[in-house]
Amino acid sequence: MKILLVEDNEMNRDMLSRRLVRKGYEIVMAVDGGEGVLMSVSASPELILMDMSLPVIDGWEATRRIKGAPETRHIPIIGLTAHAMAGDREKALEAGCDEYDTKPIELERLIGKIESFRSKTSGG
Amino acid sequence: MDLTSAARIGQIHREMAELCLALKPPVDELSDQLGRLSRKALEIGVSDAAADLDRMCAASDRLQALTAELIGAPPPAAPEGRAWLAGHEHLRHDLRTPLNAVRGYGELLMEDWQEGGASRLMPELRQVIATANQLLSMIDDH
Repeated sequence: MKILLVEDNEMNRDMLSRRLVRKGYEIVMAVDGGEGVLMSVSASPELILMDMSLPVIDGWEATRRIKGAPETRHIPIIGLTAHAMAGDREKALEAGCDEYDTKPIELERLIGKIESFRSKTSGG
Repeated sequence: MDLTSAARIGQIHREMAELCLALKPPVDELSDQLGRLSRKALEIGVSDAAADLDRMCAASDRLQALTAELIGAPPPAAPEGRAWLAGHEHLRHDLRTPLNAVRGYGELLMEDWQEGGASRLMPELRQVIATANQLLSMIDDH
């Protein structure tokens, strides 16, 4: 399964991508919201992990653009935020995220969410 | 700036200083634990983990510097008070970020070191992760 990880923090990007690669996922990465929007088209990911606090274009706006474009709106997006603050989940879902998770990442929980989309998209 | 804001700034400033004072012993302990782990890794020749251990040590150094800065910082003067109040929301996040790096890389190494000679480093690594978790709980609960 090919996943686009949009994350500006180098260490978070490195940690999460390495752990997901070990679990058998193919990871492509973008470092800001603008690059994330471009790569949602050019890299044809099957799912997007979107940090919401991003430079250039933030995760909420990038999500709105991806979900607003006919060629990318079908791609499931899991929004990630560092603050487990009340209202964050609703804000992410309002922007068009299909799911939401909080950092620090609990890998097994995140994989459970990723896999729920695989079964949906494969019809299983 | 009105009196309510000034009182609020004073209160938050005190709370942050108290939190950092409470964090200092385990923060220092984390730094010592990482030092011991890195030295032992070097001794038994686990060289492929060096970059990850360096990142963990760098994160621990950042945390030590930040807590020391917050303990010693004087209350913000009135003209800067409003900006400080807006920025303090990020302080807990700034404290958590290096700890999440220590924990995340620690868990990566845990997966790497399940087998082979590096498994001898597991007790020290577990201590590091436990201290990082303890510090994260303290930041969340305070």
